[in-house]
Amino acid sequence: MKLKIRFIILLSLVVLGSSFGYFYTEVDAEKIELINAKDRYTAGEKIQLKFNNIDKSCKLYLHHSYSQTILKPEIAENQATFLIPDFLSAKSGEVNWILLKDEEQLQTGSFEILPKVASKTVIESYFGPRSIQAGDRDYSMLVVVPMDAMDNPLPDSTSVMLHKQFYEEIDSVEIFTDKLMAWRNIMAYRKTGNINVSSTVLGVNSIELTTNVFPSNATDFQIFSFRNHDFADGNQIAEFTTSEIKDEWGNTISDGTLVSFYIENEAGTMLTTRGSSIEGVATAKIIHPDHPDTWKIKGYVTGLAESNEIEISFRQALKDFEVEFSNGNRSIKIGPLQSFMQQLIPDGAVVKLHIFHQNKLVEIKQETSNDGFVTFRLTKSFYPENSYSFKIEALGKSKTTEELSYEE
Amino acid sequence: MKNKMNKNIYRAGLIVTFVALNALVLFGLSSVLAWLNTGAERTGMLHTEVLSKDVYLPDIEWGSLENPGRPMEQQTLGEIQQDYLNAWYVKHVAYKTNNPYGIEDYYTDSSRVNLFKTIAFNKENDIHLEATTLNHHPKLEFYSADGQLVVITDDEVIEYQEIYEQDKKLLTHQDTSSYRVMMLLEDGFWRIRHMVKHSAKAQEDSVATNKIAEVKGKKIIVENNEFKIKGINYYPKDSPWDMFGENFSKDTIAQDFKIIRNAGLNSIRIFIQYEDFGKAEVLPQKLEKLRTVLDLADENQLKVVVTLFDFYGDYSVLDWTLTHRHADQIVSAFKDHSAILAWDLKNEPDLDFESRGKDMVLQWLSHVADEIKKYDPNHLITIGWSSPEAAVNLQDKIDFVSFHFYKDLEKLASDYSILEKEIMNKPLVMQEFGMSSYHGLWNPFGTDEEAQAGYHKKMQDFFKKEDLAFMSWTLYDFEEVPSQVVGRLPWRKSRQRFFGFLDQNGEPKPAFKYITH
Repeated sequence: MKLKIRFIILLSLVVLGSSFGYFYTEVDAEKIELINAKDRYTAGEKIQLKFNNIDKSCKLYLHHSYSQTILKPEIAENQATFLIPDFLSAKSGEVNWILLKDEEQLQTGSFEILPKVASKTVIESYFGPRSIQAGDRDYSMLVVVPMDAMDNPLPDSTSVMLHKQFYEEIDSVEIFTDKLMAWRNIMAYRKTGNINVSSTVLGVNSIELTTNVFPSNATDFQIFSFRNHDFADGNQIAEFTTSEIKDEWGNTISDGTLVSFYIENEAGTMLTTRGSSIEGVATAKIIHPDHPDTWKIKGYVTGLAESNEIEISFRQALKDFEVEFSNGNRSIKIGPLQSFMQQLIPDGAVVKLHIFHQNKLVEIKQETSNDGFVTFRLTKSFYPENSYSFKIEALGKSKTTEELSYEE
Repeated sequence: MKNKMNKNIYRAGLIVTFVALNALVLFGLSSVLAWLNTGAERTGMLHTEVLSKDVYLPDIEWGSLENPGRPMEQQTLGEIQQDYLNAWYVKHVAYKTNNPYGIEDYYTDSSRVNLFKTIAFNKENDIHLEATTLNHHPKLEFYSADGQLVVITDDEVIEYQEIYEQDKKLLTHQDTSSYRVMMLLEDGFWRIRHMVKHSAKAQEDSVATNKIAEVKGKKIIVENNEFKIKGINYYPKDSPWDMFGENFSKDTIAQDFKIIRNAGLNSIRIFIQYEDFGKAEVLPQKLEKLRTVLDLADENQLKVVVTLFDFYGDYSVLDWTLTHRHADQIVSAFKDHSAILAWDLKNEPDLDFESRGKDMVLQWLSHVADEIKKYDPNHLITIGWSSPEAAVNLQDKIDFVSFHFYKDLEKLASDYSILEKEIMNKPLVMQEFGMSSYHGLWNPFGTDEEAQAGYHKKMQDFFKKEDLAFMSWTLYDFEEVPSQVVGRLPWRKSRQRFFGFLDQNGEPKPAFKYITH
């Protein structure tokens, strides 16, 4: 009896199970099978996904590095083949796929396409900055991106030989790719010149790239002055030059480095002139003062270097001058203004006329010389008083007159 | 005489023709000159300034900027991020239209070929995609010393895509991938040189939660007590559908809240218009006004259901990231505010099923729900479905189910019992119901104020019997209803104006007695 009950239970279980089985056979997804499942392919390889038990209405969705698309199958003997088009099978990266039938997702999966190392390597290299400073601080960076023939970056830990040349020194070092590229800092030398680099990956050589090592910052230097004569004639030009300016490693600084000369005169006024360097030497010019003076001069490469201080003096150029009143004292002619060799002073020398009335300053008039003379005219309408006195200044020399009377 | 007249007409004709001809010649010459002066500015060649407006704003969060190359500058990082997202955007647009417009700006010579080939293949097979990314977690791996090259690993890129063949949707799919990207600075653009997809590395970030409201079974719990919504939809009397506009008045709202509180209600529902709040760039002054309203609600012990995305109707996949930023900025700002009970994702989105496609609207809602939960895990979310039938949608995504009921009272009991069976384990809220007391020129036989009172009495009896949460429509009768709400037709507008419990002077109508039970 017990046996019978067991038998019945067993039988009913079998029936039940088979009926479930019957239901399951209705669902296609259970029987669909990817025949040639493979996790990894090499770029450029022909990739086919073959499925059992599917029909023409199935489609394959692909999601790749750059692309998403839908493929249609080719059916042969209860097998469907999806051929991955070349532009997808040539790119490295993970590919996710979904097998579809009428909006229903039957199966999903993924595989990886690896770069094809055994193909002609292409090297892209980026080198920069292309100009660096001599010494131990600055560097250029070389980034090497080796790729297979289908433009896929080679896998991590690909060996890259890096070659470097600086004058007689030529050496090589091995680096490895990591995260799409390999890189190395190329340190500057203490000497100026060009550093050439190139790289080799899997027997393929890159082009040559160059960085310029430019001189480092200027160091302190000497300055000198040169004058034709030392008279304060407001006309001659004084010249300041530097010694050959060097950087901290003894390289001559780059052409075009700007040197500023600051000049302090007796009155404490700052004058300035500039020159840029050629082969380390900068020259700047400035016109002589028009009165006796002493200058203290110092040169600077702003913020970086400075020179010694030099001092130069200028002598009185004009010994004396005549003042002639005419036209009822309304015309004042000053001159001839004679320089150190009695020659007429060049045009443009400044003469100032201070006009006083009863010891109170009325006005200062200013003119520049022409052929050694300066004339001031005081018209009656502007100067109506009956007496004026004057002070005349020219090239650092001054003269005062007595009270002169003017007719009403 | 006649001859002379004729001659004069001749002359006049000649002169007029002469003047007209001259004018024409002058116009022609000036047009040519003007045309020669048009075109791009020379500076355009340098790409120093690319005028752009935000079209694509997925959530992007930079990981470590530590890298062996060179320290990253904030300015450059901003440029890289902008160009990287633009690269994604032009790719989405290109795959949607199968037109490679804009690809050249954001992909280098060698990498753009991959996109061109895909576009050609998809075009040939009549395939197109609508796609967007929702999430980026880029990490800077390398930045070269000369500032011309970066390598980024973008982990956890959540990509949503719909694939169409011959305009028929084949697949809706969301996946997470990881990309390693090399970008080069060329012509002022950061362009993608290499892009390699990897299997995604999952990152779990923990969000500290501070739950203000939660749902247990069919109950809404606030501060450990069951909270039964007895509420009302609220707009100020003088600024319906424009609560946060020019006429915003703190005093008016404070007064109204007192009325609501004194009437025995415990909650209100308010609306935030998508454009009014500044779309993807939410205006700070609007947030301030919203904060004022929420603070006032707090003072009056009212809980608030805040309805987002009012008057929004695009839903297209490429617009998603903009709406996400809108939601993100609003809910993040108030994630700890105790007055908020729930975020209502959108008012009556099912009304857009027909015009925009049911699937599209549901996908959008479902992603917005995820987005809001991500930024504000403290409050509840719901969707204000326009009818009990529509309320069965997306019930797994929301905390409680809201539906509106404007049908005949006879259908109430049966509709409700059907809905109750469909939704076994979520609280139900009748979030809008009401009756207009308008009977006038456009509808002389409409219901009057007494009928309205009767309606509300029956509704309250029903709520009491079924223990159902409710929010009625609405506190006031309005002077004016904007056309966006019910259209321009005057009989619809007039009807919409008279749903209030208080009339336009603020005096209680007979229905006020039945505002709650």
